[in-house]
Order: sequence, then C-alpha cells, then structure tokens
Amino acid sequence: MKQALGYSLAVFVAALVQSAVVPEFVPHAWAPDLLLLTSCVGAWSTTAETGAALGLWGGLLTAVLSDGYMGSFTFSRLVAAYLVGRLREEVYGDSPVILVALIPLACLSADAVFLLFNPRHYSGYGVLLRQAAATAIAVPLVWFLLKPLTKDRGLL
Amino acid sequence: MAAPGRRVTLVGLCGLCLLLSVAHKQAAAVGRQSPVAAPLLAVMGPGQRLLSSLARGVKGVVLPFASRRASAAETASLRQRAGLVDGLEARLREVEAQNARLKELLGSPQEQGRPLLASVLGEGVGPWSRTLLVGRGGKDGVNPRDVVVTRQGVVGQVAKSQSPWSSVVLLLTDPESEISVLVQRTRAQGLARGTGGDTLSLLQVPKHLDVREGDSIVTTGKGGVFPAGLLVGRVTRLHRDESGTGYVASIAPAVDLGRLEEVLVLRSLHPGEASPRL
Repeated sequence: MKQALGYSLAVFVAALVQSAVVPEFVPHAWAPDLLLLTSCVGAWSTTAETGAALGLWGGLLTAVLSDGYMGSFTFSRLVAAYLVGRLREEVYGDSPVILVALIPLACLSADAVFLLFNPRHYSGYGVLLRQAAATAIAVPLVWFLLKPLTKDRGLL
Repeated sequence: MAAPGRRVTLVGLCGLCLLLSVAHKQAAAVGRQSPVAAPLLAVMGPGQRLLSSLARGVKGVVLPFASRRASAAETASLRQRAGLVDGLEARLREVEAQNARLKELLGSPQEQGRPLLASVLGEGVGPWSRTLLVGRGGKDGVNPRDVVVTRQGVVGQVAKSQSPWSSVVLLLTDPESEISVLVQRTRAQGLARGTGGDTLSLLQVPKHLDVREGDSIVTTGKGGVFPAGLLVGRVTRLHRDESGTGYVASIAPAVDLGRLEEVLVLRSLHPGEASPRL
C-alpha cells in the first residue's frame, strides 16, 4: 500500500514535470510521456492491478491537462500499464532491462486504444513512433529516480 | 488467468473509467467542466508555477552559452527589424485609436473586456491534444471561450477546465480547434482546423479561389468567439484534397506556440458556454 501511494505521488510529480519542465527543453513532437512511463514502472515493480490503478490516475491527470477525452485517456493508460504488469508476472520475470524494450510497446498500445475511440485524431505513425522512442530513452532516468520505491520488492 | 479477486479489482477500475467518462460528458453537455478538473488543477497550479520558473531559470543560464555564436547574427538581424517594428507599432496604435472612435460613433458594442496578462505555467500532455496551462482562472474573471493572443497573433481560446487560479487554453493547432478565417489578400473565407501538430489546415479551398503560399490568414469574426482581423498565420503549402475538387492549405501559426511565456487573455464581456469535447 505504501509503495502504491509512493508511485501515485510519483505519477503526480511526473504530471508537473511533463507539463512545466519538459516543454522548456524538448519540442512537443519529441516529448516523452512521463506519466505513462511512471505508471508502467509502477506496474513493473508492484502488481498488474496496482499498475492499472496508476495508469488510470495518470490518464486522469492527462485528461485534465488536455481538457477532455477523460474516458479515452484513463482507459488507454489503464490497459497499457496493466499489460506491462501482466507481462512481468507471466513472461519476463524481474529484469528491469526488458522495460526499455517494453515501454515503446506500452506507448503504442495506449495510443492504439485511444485512437480506437478517437480515430479522427490519427495524423500518421511518425508522431506515435517519435513519442514511443522518446519515452524509451527516458526509461533509465525514471527507473533510477524511482529506485527507492522499487527496492521494496527487492528488484534491484 | 487472473484470480477472481484480481479480476474484480480490474473490472472495478474499468467501471471507474466509465464513471469518469460519463461524468465528464454530462458536465460538458451542460457547458460545465469535469467535476475533478478544478480541484486537480488547483492542486497542480503551485507546483507548476514553481517548476516552470525553475526550468526557465536553468534554461536562461544554460542556453546563452550554447547559442552565443548563433545569437550574434540573430541580434544583428533583429536590430535591423526593430526599427521597422517600431514604425509599424506606431501605425497600429493610430489605426486602433481610429477603429475605437469609429466603433463608438457606430454604437457597436465592444466584444472584449480589458486584456489580462497571464503567465504560461505549462503544456498539455501527449500527441493528441495541444493545450497550455496559464496562471489566470475564474477568480480573475477568465471564462471559457475567452480569446488568448500575443502581439504576433492568435494563440487559442480558454477551455472549460479551469480552477480559480489557472485555466487550460486550447491552442489553434489542437485537433478540436476550428476557426473561421479569411485570406487577407483576396478576402476568400474558409474554416481552419488544428492538425494536432504544429500547423492548421484551411479546408476545402475551391480551385477557383486565389490562395498562394505566403498569404496571411486572419480571423473573420464569425462564430462569436474570435474578434475579426486577428492574425492567425501564413499559408505554407497547398495540396489537393482527397476528393480532388479543391485544395487544403497548410497554415503555420503566426505565434510560435512552443515558446510562449506570457499571453494576453481577452476577457469576454458576454461569457458563453464552451462547445463540448468528448
């Protein structure tokens, strides 16, 4: 529970950094999705269900900052973070290195679910791939910053 | 397979998504913001304000070293343009004063109240929407659909989500943004829609209309949100639309939307309801 609360706070801080700090240094098209990334790291380090709740929380903050798409954002991020948590349990075990490869897939899954509900927003796969790549690059940094939370599970 | 308890948790979370979505849509249908938006924006506001000024401070220290050489040439060019801008500004002030006098003579109601300077606290998240968060909210008399501009031109309009101290601004380039515009040179009118990227698209331009690359695009004043004559951007590219019956013109916004630190909110004297977004 303590760990889940810690990750919830981390997702909130990620929302602040994403909206106030990232735009100062990175062009919009190349901005990593720190909210989804933090939710997925949480899912990887706790359980799939906790991950789903973190995804929902991240989606809620994203929707508030975007003034809309409440259902699409919360559900798409819930699904992506849940999938990451399930994959860790079912397939890959505990190696966090795999997360670097898994995060772009989580980004693309979240985008796919979002576009399912909002198909007219599709404006080419370039946008999706750029964001997925930028998010993957940010994995080591976020993982390092969240290390104190992941230690509870003895992953590192 | 997931255990039954875990499945119940997952179903409960999906139900919560549905509940949030329904609450949001119902609020939007009556022109209100989502019930969770105001408290969350209010809580995020101080943190964003702090982080945003820290980030700008760091950027201000780091960037001058990185771009000193580039800025020397830029400074020379900017100095050259400054004189020209001064002249244009003086002329603009003259035209504005004349316009106000004429409006008064005609008894035309003023659409906008006093402009309000607002600092930009942050940007929206993800590739699906283009929004800004500004440090003025309901307490400052800012309402949904108030127009947001800079000296260079239109930025967007205030969206539904706001707290007493901050508001979300829907940028011109957001896919949900539509604005009635005209080509300044030919007065041909059309509808410009945000692409979600860095441009807008002027849709369904008939073949016979004379639209060229470099043409200035301004607002028509139709629709009751944006006043007439505000600069939206310039045509950068023309290409055939899917049906082959006309053209789609790409418009680069006059304002560099990625580098905004302050904006002006033109408060409406007759605040209306924002159009619902799903």
